Amino acid sequence: MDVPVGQTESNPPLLTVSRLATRFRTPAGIVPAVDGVSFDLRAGETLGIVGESGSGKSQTLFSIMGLLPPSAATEGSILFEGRELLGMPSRELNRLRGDRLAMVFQDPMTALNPYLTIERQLSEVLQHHRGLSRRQARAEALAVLQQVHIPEAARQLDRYPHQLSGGMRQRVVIAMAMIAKPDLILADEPTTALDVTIQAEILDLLAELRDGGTAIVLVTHDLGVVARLCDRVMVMYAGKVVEEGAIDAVFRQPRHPYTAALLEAIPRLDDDIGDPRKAIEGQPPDLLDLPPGCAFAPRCALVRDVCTRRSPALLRHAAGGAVSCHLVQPEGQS
Amino acid sequence: MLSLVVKRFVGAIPTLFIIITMTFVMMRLTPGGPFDTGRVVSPEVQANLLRAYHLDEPLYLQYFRYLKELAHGDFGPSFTSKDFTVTQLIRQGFPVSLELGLSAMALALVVGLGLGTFGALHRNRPADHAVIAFSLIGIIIPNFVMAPILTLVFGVTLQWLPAGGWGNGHQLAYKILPVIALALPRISSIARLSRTSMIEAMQMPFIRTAYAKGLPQHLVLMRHAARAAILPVVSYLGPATAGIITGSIIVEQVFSIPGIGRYFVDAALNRDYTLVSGVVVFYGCIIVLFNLIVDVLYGVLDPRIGRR
Amino acid sequence: MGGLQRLKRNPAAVAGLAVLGIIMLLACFGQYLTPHAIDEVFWDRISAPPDIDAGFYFGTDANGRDLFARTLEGARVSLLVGVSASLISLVIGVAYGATAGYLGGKTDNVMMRIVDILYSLPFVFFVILLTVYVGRSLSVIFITIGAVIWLDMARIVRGQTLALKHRDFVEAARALGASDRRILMRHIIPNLWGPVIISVLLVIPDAILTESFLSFLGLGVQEPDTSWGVLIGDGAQNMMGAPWSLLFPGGFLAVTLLAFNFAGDGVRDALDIRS
Repeated sequence: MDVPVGQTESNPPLLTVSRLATRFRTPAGIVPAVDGVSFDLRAGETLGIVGESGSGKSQTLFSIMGLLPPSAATEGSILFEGRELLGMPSRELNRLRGDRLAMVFQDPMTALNPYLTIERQLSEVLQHHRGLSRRQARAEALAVLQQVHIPEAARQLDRYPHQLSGGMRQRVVIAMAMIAKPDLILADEPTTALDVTIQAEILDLLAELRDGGTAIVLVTHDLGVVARLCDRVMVMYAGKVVEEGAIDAVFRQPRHPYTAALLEAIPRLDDDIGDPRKAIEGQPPDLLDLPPGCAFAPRCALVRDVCTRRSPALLRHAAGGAVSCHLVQPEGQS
Repeated sequence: MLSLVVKRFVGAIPTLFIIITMTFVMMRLTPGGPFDTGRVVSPEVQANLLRAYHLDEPLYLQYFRYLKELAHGDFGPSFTSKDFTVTQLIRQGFPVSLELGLSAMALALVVGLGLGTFGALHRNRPADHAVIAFSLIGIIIPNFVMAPILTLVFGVTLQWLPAGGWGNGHQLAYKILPVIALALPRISSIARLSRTSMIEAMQMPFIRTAYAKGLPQHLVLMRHAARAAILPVVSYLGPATAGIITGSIIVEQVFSIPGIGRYFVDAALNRDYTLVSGVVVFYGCIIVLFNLIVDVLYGVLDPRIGRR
Repeated sequence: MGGLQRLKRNPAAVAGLAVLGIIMLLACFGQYLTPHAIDEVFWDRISAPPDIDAGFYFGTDANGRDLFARTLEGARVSLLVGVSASLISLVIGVAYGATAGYLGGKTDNVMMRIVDILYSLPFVFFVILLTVYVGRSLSVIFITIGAVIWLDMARIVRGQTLALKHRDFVEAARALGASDRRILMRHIIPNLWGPVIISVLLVIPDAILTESFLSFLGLGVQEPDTSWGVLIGDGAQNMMGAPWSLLFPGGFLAVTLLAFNFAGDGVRDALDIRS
């Protein structure tokens, strides 16, 4: 039985995802990209979702935002500020999107419209959601560009995306998400497409957002990013949640073999150059052809017989997090 | 921005020169042409020709003289029409052809873009298949087959519209069929082109961003997708103009419309060398000019060009 | 070969090729299907509707001549002109494109710029201009058409040459000291056949269309020869009492163009995927 994080009446979670499942119809078959994901997010909290490519982390975000292609079918429940997003008519959904709940995309070059000015793409959010005039919206756009620390913001307003550097473009994308002061921002690998030096700046920016009270769900494959920014972390594998909990707890004592392997694989400054590489053996599974039982079993160093026969459930453990592994007893002993 | 215009302008000049030079060369040097000294003509005619065209001068001087005359809009006398110069004939016929051509282009854009967008929005559904089938017809059936058929159906059999002629120039009824006949192949091409480009535009990542911002579909379409989708259509305007000019020859012939196309055909049948050459140079200039405008327009619409 | 398999799986292309085959057979042997000559005048049947029993399958034209026989003759001439013009454009296009692609650099740029410039001009005007000066015999027509429509061919050939230029066997030949001309003639041009076949298939309908355009206006094929364009032109003038004289040749032309288009697209798809 899946157990959501406990909620108190005085502080209901901002976002409650229950048994979210998203399946894609492809010529080769049905792909269960997201398979029974549940989590909560409180106001002001930052949740990091980590996993390899194909783990379903980005598709989880798209499912929440309602940005899936027609070939996708979604089940489950997504409660945002108490309202059910799944199945919501687009007119209502459009009032929430961009306003109360916004998204930051991975590649700023393709996420921005190359044919419109920066100002246009920023202003239209407020013009649409707040009914501001063009002039008022433009003033707000200027303000938000300054908030994301874009130099010479006034000049950049009338420029086009291709005239800005990669880092600046991503700041614009974040500005677009911020401009209506949403309660929740979903960020899909916001630093992956950027240079390492710029990554740090963008993460600082996101930290400012967090400090300002915005809840953030951050999808990334980089554990370092999660460590820096997030309160809680959720590890996904083959469309399922395998571990979830507070950052310190998970990082210091990972309970799922996959989480442990991910942490092991991070190179450290005190490693010897001659040490064998600690990458996880094997390949991520083909979602069209998942093995019975635990999806990680083929690559797990601690695999046992039961692992290949039954899929483990996501269970709470004593420290407040959750794990999905046969080797972990409900009381937290392995 | 201005540098873009200047650059394009400079690029257009070689094209003009090629047209003019080719025409000149053909006139002076082709065997059997009007200035072939091997032809047998009476001495008086020979003397006249010599004087009028300065044939005794070296070739390059004749060339410059030709250029100068062209610059003044003088295409020379007509070979078959005693009363009019080529310039006068062109000036007579051009307004008619211009009206015909512009109307056809406007119709093609409106209907073509409409059909293409419609097909893209209802992709792979019956409505889309209808659009594709319709556009195939316009491309496959040549306009010299289509135009007579239109006349036959609407002018003769159903008698809804006059089968030919231009009326007094102000009557709409005479214009409907020829404009449609001229526009049809272009409607098909534009519909096909805009459908494909709209489908591609809708799959661009920035469309997803637009939806993520909560914009309703009509805004996403009009403001975001359309800007991307329109560019291939703008590029096509150049070839479309060439196509309309070519098509006008047929349409003016079939519908007996007194435009340049009709004069051109008559001139070709009667071997009126100067009129034929004059029309080629004239239309060539128009095409070059139009391509220039289209190039600049494209530069305006795509901010990535000419802006660093 | 994989390409042939792919081609067979494309119903439109297969249908197109089949139709072309039929039309070519008709053009070559159709004269045996009809007892009438193309210029035989039947005074009692001026503009007569189709009469299957008497052997006038398509009826007669305004001069009392059998339209079926003339349509088949038209097929012969139109195809002849189309193919001849394409072959001429093939020679010019391959020579120009292969040279430009092979020489590369500035020469290539200039040569292709010229192609760009010429491409924007409506070539029909130039064909007409040429026929005014040079005359209207059949050979003049297909030469002038071919001389004008080689542009696409040149572009495609140039592209393919650029790709071939850096292949190993060309490098080997150069290392062995072969001259440029030898490399071009011996190595590059023989390997261009794939794109060339596609271009020819796509150029023939253009050539046929251009010839029909001219003949329709009276500027192309002259009496007593006939082509589809001539027939359509005549048919257009007489369509009021005799619509069949327009519709039959018009239909044949449209179907042939359609068949060429489908077949050409199909062959291009089949051959392109391999690289």
